[in-house]
Amino acid sequence: MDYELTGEQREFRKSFRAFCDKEIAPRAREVDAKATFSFENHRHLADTGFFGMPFPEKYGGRQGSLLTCTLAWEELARACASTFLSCGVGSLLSGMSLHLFGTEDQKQNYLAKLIKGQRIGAFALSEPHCGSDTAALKTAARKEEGRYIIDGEKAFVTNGPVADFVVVFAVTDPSAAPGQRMSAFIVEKDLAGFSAGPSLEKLGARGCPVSDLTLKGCLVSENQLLGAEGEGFLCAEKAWGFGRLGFAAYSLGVGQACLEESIGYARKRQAFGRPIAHFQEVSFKIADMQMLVDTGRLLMYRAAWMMDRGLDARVDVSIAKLFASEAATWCAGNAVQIHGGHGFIKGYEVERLYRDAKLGEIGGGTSEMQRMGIARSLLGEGF
Amino acid sequence: MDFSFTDEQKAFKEQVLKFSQKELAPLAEEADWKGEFCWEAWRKMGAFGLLGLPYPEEYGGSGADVVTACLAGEAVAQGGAEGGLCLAWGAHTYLCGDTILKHGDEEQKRKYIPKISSGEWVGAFGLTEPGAGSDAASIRTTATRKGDYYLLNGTKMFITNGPIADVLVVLAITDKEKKAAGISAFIVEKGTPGYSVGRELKKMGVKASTTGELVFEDCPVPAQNILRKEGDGFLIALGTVEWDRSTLMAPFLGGLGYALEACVKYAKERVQFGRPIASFQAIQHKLADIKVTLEAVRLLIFRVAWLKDQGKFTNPVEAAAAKLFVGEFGMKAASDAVQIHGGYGLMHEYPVERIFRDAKLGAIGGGTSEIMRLIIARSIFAAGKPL
Repeated sequence: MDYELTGEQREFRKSFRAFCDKEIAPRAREVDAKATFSFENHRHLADTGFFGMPFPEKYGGRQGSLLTCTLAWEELARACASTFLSCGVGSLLSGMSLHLFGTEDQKQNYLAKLIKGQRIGAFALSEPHCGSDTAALKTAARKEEGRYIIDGEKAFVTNGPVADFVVVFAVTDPSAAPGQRMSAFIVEKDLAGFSAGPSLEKLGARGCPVSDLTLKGCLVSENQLLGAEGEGFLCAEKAWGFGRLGFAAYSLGVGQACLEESIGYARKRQAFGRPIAHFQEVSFKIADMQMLVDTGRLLMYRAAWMMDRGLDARVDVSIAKLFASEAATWCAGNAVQIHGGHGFIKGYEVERLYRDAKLGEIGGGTSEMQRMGIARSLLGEGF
Repeated sequence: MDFSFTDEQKAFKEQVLKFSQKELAPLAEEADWKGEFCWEAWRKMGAFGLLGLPYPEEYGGSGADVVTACLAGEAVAQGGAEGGLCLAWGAHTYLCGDTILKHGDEEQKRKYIPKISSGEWVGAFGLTEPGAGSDAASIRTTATRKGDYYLLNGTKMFITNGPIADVLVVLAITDKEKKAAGISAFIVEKGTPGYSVGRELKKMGVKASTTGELVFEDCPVPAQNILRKEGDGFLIALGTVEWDRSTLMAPFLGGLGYALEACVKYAKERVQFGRPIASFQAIQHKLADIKVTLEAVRLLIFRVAWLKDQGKFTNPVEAAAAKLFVGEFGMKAASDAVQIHGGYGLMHEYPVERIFRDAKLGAIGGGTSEIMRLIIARSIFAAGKPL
């Protein structure tokens, strides 16, 4: 047993925080206000080796443990949740799919370039009519003369408008069991019939472009099949295991930022002749924030640690994601409350954090889906 | 980081769990109903070696580390033991015994620890007073030096094991001018003239533990019974109440596990509208929430235990986070557990009814949730930066 990070991990977190404070955080407000992807942030992150953190050295990665990755993820989300959603979760989902299911050629062509920051990846699973219920997917890939013809619509695709390639999930065998119906494909942005819709206007994480995708008679070769035919569901499940851990980090970063903003404001803001930090209604809310963020972090670390050891961590990742996301929205709501009128005004960090927090309870499977999964693990088959 | 337990720790937990299920759980309902201390369960725990778990072998203990001690606390409650028994155990082994072990001189340790370890003597810890709860530095009990004795005068309140204790650690003022630095800790034995149990108090939960008001009237305590030296009492108490916020919380973790198991079983068996209620999402999601709370509590408690094993004597912020979480989320989980059971959840024969009443202690005993928030907030605003 050991409840502390190693000296190396603490050092890494410190230096990564310094990097984020210097290069990422100053642009956070603008990224949100303009609701555009920051290629500058993307380049800075590529230069630090961020994209390669969990991937093998062979492709330019750092082969770090997931536990160490979560440290960087949380810091990036703390500095700019939008950027983390694009460059963290978005890249992780496409990158992990390639890492786990790609051929050597695919890894060299896509993963290595993603790690270098030369290509941006996206991951397209949800459709306009289905999110968590992946068995209802309609996008189809028909095989004809050694090629696949993909037709369908994808929804809420993170990085959709800026992606150079997209991992697309499509049904290849409608008659197979639900877990074997779909396959994953790598689709390049300039493929005929492929188009990304306009960036959707969103409540929060506005600087992360999200769009619908349309695939009309897209012809892709067998070489673009990711994993074997019928392995799409498996690929999506595995990638989302990492994605959920990423969302736990997203929420913890937002929660931590709310905590820090609240501490700073409570110290400065005077009311009735003293800083509002002196009032228990304020300082106790801040104590609760710290307790929640601290607890969420323990849950996330344990889930990452289990995944690093190759243990089945599906339930633990769900627990971490569920707890951290609800903790973050609580922290954000109370951070705005502590800021009073200022918290409601654009320009105060907490106004943005409040909007950013909500995604944690929805992306990567809603809180309801996490609870369903956790309950199933308790009840066993048949429920 | 490493969140694993050793094989030895896991095997020990399993052993304690079986012991609790077989020997302690059958005694729980009656003890709770009567609100009486269960000597049968107590003796069994002593014989099993639980009462002296963390003490070195030379004092009759098992030399267990804090992590192992917390596993035992979890297992006893998870097996179905009554909450008051767990509380009595905590007050005896940690608040009283461990305080003597940590701060006593060799003679004091030789005299008291083996008897506490076997359970032959019951221990208690007397800090709280009718007018001094969260504000522990405001105690009014005095200890006035008279030759080879200190004369104790005052009243102690809500003292777990007080009515049955053979030996107590009592906090009293030796120098009023110095405030907290003028508080000292004494070992007081039952039968000392001038010491009496005022009344035994009846409680909402953890009912099989005895709780008393203790009265000291010119009670002569031998000078050699002081722990460390005059003025060290408050610091000693700070270290002691940290047990309240860690080891004594382990049974709440076990209680959650016990309740969750009962809920899963009930939800699968109970049929409404033609199907088990476990198939309804409203029930499933409550089960999930209890599970989330349980896993969070586990990590928070074992973090404090691990820190203590690393030799960090006080870990106030981590302990406060654990205690605050157990108090607040534990109540919610216990409430959900009753709700899942519907009408049966209100009935005494279902264990969740007891767990619900016991859970409230988590937000009050050993420092209220508000005090835990105060500790965390002070650490933030005094140190100038968050953790």
